[in-house]
Amino acid sequence: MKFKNKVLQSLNEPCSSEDTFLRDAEELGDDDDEFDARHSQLLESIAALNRRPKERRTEASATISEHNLNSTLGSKLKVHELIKTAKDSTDSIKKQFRKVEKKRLLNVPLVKPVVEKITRQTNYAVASKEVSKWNSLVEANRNADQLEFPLNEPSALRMDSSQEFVKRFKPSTDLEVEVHSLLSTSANNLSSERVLTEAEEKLLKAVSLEEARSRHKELQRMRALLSFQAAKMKRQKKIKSKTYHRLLKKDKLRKQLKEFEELKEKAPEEALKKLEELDKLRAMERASLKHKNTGKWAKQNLLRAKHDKTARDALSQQVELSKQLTQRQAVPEAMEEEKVENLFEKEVATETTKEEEKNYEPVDVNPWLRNAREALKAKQKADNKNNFSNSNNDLKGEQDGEELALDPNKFLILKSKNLKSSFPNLEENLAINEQAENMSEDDDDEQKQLIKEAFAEDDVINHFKEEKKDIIEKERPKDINLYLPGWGSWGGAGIQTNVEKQKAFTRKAPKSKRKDNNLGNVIISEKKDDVISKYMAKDLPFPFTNVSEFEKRVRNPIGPNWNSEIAFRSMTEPKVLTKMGKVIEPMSKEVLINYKIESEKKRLMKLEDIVSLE
Amino acid sequence: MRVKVISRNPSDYLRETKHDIHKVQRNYDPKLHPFAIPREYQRALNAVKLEKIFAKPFLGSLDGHSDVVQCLMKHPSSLSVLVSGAADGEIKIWNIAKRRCLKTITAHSGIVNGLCPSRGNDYFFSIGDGATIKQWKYASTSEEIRMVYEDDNDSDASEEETENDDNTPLNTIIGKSVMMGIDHHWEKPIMITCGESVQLWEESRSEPLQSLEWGVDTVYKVKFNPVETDLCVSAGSDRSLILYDIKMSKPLRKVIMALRSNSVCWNPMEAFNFTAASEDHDLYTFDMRKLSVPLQVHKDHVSAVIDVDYSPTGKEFVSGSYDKTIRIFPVDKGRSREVYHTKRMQRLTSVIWSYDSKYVLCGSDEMDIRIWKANASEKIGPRMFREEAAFRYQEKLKEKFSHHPEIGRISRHRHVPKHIRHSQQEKRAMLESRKRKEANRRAHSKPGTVPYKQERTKHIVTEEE
Repeated sequence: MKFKNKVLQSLNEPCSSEDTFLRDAEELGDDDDEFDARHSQLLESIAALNRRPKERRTEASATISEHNLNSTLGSKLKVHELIKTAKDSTDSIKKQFRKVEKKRLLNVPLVKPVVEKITRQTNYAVASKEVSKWNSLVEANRNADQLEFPLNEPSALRMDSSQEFVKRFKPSTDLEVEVHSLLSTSANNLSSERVLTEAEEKLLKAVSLEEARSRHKELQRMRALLSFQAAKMKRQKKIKSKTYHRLLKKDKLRKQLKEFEELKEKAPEEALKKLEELDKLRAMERASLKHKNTGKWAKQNLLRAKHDKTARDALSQQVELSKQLTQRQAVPEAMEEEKVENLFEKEVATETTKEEEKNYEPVDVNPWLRNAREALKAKQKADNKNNFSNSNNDLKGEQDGEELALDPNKFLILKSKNLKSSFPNLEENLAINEQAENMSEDDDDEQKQLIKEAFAEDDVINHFKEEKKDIIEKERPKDINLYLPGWGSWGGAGIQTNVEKQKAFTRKAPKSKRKDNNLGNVIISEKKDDVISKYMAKDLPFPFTNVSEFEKRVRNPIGPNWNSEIAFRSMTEPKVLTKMGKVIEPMSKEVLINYKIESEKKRLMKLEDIVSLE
Repeated sequence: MRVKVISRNPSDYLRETKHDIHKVQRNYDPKLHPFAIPREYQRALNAVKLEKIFAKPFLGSLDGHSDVVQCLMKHPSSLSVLVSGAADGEIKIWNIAKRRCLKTITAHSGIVNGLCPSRGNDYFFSIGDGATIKQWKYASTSEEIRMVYEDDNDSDASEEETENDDNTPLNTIIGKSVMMGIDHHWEKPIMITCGESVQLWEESRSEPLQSLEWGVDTVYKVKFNPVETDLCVSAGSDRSLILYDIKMSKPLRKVIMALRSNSVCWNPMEAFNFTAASEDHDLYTFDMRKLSVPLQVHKDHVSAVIDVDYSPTGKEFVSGSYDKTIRIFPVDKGRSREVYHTKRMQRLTSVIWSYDSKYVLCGSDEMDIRIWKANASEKIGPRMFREEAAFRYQEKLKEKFSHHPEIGRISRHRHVPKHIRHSQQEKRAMLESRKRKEANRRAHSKPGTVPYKQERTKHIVTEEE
């Protein structure tokens, strides 16, 4: 075995093994003296030989073929080369072989499971496509208002609609032809696709050319203007720059102020109105959270403010604005009015009027508007002075003589006129009332005063509070006392109830969390209305998208008491109709074909209608 | 003094004859009818209560089998003929209208596994005894023909069931493998059988035309598509539903579900939809073009659903379950609209919906076949014109106010036997706990690692191509 291995190895590595053999032979033939030494050497070498294969042991069958053929041939074997040695007559065969070799070979066939999978996939795709031809019909049947089974019953009793009938009508007799021609040529015929008849259009056309032209021009101009304006607005609306919008805002404000100034001069009453509006705006702004630092923008900026100066500025601006808005304005110490010497005021103004004046004061508190308001008032004063200057003079004359003693018979009759201000000028009113009581200057004010006096004693707020308290008490869940005297203890007359036991048996009601607990002037009832809830749908049912739609459905009665017989019948048509004792066959291809034909017909009809309209 | 009164001619408002209805003058102005809606609501309430009062769906039972009724078969053209096969190998032909057995055939020595009619011909096929297909005539003698097809009430002679010894089939085919189910092509004289393998047979040949195989598991039910007639679907023991196309002689696709399907049925109006009755108490409606997600999961049964059959209108289907109830489901709803049960009805084995869409028939473990109305409160028989109008009005009212709590509650309520109720409660508890567990897992794991899964896809394992 070892030898065989060695031989095999020698075959494998020819040069190295040969060398050793040669060397051994030479050494053997050299000397007899050194025989022992050599012998031992030989033995050693043999031993070495014996050892060596142990180290590099190889499998013979893997490396060497049975027929000693080299397994690693450089190129593939070619058929035409095989017959190279053949004689010249085989040239044509060689050519043929060459041709064959040039052609591509077939791929190795796929394994059976893969083939089957692919065929299944393709077959499935084909089948699904085939089945999809039913889509439209199935969809139509699902959505149909009514389905009558069996489906493919011949509809012998189908009636034409009136339109179809009219369409089919063709005049046959002479009279019919004559009438038809007359009717069709008449200028007063109203066709369905036109709004006006021919005759009417003619009439319209008869309007003079000049007028029409001018109107046309005017219209064109207007349209152009409109389009310009629209384009401008659109452009402006698209601008996203914040600075632009800020500037725009500022500009607007400035303009408004300017306008206001102008108004103050020209029409003080309107200016006052405007003032009130501004006041309201301020109130709204105060009420809103816009200037508070709770918004998304503010929070973002707060984060950014550490590094960004602009953000910091913006924030500080906002803070300032909020401060301005939320600051409670001090009431100005003394109003000009009080300073102004007024004769009538001195004489007539009672304490009540003064009080009322004070009631009006807070309106003036707005610091933005103070200047404007003061100016306005000054103007009014001046007017008043002018009005009464005459009387002043007169009275002064009398004052000289009689020292403030007024003669009730000597009064001034003033013409009533519209006030320039919407402010009730109470001093004036009162003065005038005093002077001329039969002249009711301002009925409304008097009425208000009256009502106020009449209900002076009513304490509405306290009433409301009490009512709320009552309601809360009434709706509060109560403790339940389950204590029964006599259970677990002696009962009867004269036995004292055990307080501790009673306590132990009371089930405490949970604390009520009312929504209106912290709302002063509101009562929110939390009682569920059982009467109504019984009739209320819990949520919007499926096909409806909004509540009003559903309510509309419910609101329309369908009964014969509220609808005509025909309407009732059509509204109560069932969705599915079947015939007694009739077999309902499954859907068939004829039904599909019929459906396709019908839908095609409908489509054509529609197209025709469109064409005729155009 | 002269008093002026409004006077009318009585002939304007009185009926002409005694049978004529009173003419009612009405003003439809809605301002004059402020209480129209409350009145309609009350009418709807009455209608829904009346529906309950008149809900008497059980029409009768066909008694006669001496073993479990295994399968039922509708006659393709005659509404009154029913064929039933029992576990003792007996086949009975019934006249439903008369509720009488017309013919008894001792067809097989074991269970009659399946029945199917031949389309357009006067015979039907049965399978049993492992692997035999037998072909039978509905009626062989003229007497029988008269009995089966003609509803003559006067014949006393035919009162007794004809005890015919004629137990020889027209034809017998012996197959090589066990057969569990059979169905007939809707147009061609071709049958398909299932069992160890799905095989296609020609009526007149004794060798199968082809064998459609995918996997090695037993197939329990196979059904031909009534519309696209070359398609069929099967339910197998490897929890799979397999689609076949006999034109291509290859299966098309397979969907594997969490539990086995016991039966399948195609929608006769929608070529691509079919419903599978599953062992997991639910029914699944599939679109054959998208098997990975069923169109609808129909829940309500509390035990395995054994059989399902479509109404010929394709709007509803009936299912029979191991929980001893029959339920009727609308195709597009997840919950049943009706449940039928009786004290004596045991596990259902087979249900069918008659071809006029008016009746439902069921065969069950305790040897009876029961006939039910498809609409429990429907009046059977001819209706007068005004009666019909009133019924239609009531239907519409119920539909209109169905979303109002009181009416919805009454119309939805069904009394179910105690065992159903208990198992419903049990099932609910189980589902809730499962849900809770999932929610807990979701709450305590990294967001997104426990995804929400649609109820529809939960029970589909894979779709194999």
